[in-house]
Amino acid sequence: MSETDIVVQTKGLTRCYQKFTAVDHVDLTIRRGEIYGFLGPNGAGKTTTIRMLLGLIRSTSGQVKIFGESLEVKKKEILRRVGSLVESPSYYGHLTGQENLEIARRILGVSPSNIEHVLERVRLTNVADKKVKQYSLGMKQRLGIALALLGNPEILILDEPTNGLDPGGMQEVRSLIQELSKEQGVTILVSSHLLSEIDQIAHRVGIIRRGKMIFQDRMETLREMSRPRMRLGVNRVEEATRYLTKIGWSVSCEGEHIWSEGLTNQETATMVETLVKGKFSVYRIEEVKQPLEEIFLGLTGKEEGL
Amino acid sequence: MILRLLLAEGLKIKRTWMVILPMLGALGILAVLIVDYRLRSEYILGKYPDTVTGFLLEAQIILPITILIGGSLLASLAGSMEHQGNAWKYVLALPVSRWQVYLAKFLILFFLMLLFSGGATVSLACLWKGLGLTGEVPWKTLAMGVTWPVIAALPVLAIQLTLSLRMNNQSVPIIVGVLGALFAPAFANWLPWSYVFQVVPVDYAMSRRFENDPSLWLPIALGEGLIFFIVGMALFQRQEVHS
Repeated sequence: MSETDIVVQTKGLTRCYQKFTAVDHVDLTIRRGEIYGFLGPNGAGKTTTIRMLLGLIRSTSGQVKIFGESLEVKKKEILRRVGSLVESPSYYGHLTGQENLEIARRILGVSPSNIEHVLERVRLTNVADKKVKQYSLGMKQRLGIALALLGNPEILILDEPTNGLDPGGMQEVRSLIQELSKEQGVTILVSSHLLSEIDQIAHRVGIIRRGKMIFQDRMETLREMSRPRMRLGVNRVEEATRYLTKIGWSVSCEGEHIWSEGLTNQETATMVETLVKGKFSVYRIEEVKQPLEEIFLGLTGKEEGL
Repeated sequence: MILRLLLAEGLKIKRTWMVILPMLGALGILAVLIVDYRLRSEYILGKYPDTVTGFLLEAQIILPITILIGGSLLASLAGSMEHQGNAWKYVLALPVSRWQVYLAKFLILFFLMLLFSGGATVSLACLWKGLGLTGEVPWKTLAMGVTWPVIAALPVLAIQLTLSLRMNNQSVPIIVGVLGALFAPAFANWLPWSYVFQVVPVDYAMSRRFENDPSLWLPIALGEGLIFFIVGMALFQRQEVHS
């Protein structure tokens, strides 16, 4: 991977509020054209990181490089090529959707046809002349995405873009993200507190917990962590578990089943044989894959209310 | 860039009170002076050495307070627009310099204040005609009579805009603006809120307020306005966007 492939890079990015460290030495790397899922429980430091990427707040230490340039030095040039939607949507309620876009268009200095184009993209054309304060939350969120797209950005930073959307709306945003990535090669950073949100679309993920990046790799690598477990249905389950444990098997009894991890085919056969020899009836043997969400919860800690 | 930002600001104030407010202010001044002259025109005409001086000094009942409070309201409306729709995080992530955003806000505010002084000049001219006062309408003096206080209000406008841009809750800036307008002038003539009262373009000796001296207070107001403007700009430059 060459240096030019990396479009966003932070090194030791840190932000402290008095004694609280919201973001702690985060090294984030996003490559050109990829969809990067930025995951973490609420309050883990996602939004703080994103605000630093956009220069909305200062970092306590560390640096941000976008397109290989320091954000501090070339802020305006960098922001021209970046579109963003941070948390709740931004809008002027007394103006129409069209006028909201026109304000941004005047500042960006792009063609008026861009407005029509982005309105179509987020399906707001038919309500473009309505005041934004009459919009539903989902419509405001879509207007936010339209605003982010207005300047034809090379990097799109979307912080919780599906917040407040109904399931249909969520699916639509996901499709839009995939389209932009595939058709226009836009690099996209999308944050979420739900793995299921970006599970299907992200190429790479970064998982942040209590301000620290605890995982950053390809989506497949995260999936590989999902090791299958074996579930056995037997009679006298507690007795059977004790029997197996006594002769050295690593098993556990959960509910009506015996559970074991990382068994090879031969080991499985031997275990069944042992049980049958011990006069236990084996009803069924199933392989259970751990859902990705479980792994995510395992990484981020269940106690941190998702 | 500044022009583009001004065009954007111009669109933002569409359908707001910000355009109507200066006109209402000008009409309000007209209304108060009509009542004033209706009730006691003989007393007023006898009290001052000439009609123009009397006219401008009578306008002092209402003009400075209108400028100070109206200016605070306009600054609050201009400064709170982005707070209301959580728009700062979008506007400041656009490829613009923050100082330009601040300058554009200030220019719009000052433009609206000048709109007010235009309206107020016309109001006073109408009253002059309506009262059948002698001589031609003294346009130049009337225009100076309302524009000088607007210029003298520059430091206050800079303070108010800075407060309104920094604070999510607009009650603090409004309270500062109203208290400043009502009490500061009685407290000391060097406070920024006092200058507005001290720049009436009439002869010093004839004025009831002995501090009145446009040639002294106008330059002070301009200089101080510039300082507060730069301070406000520097604060805005460093402001963090959390909402």
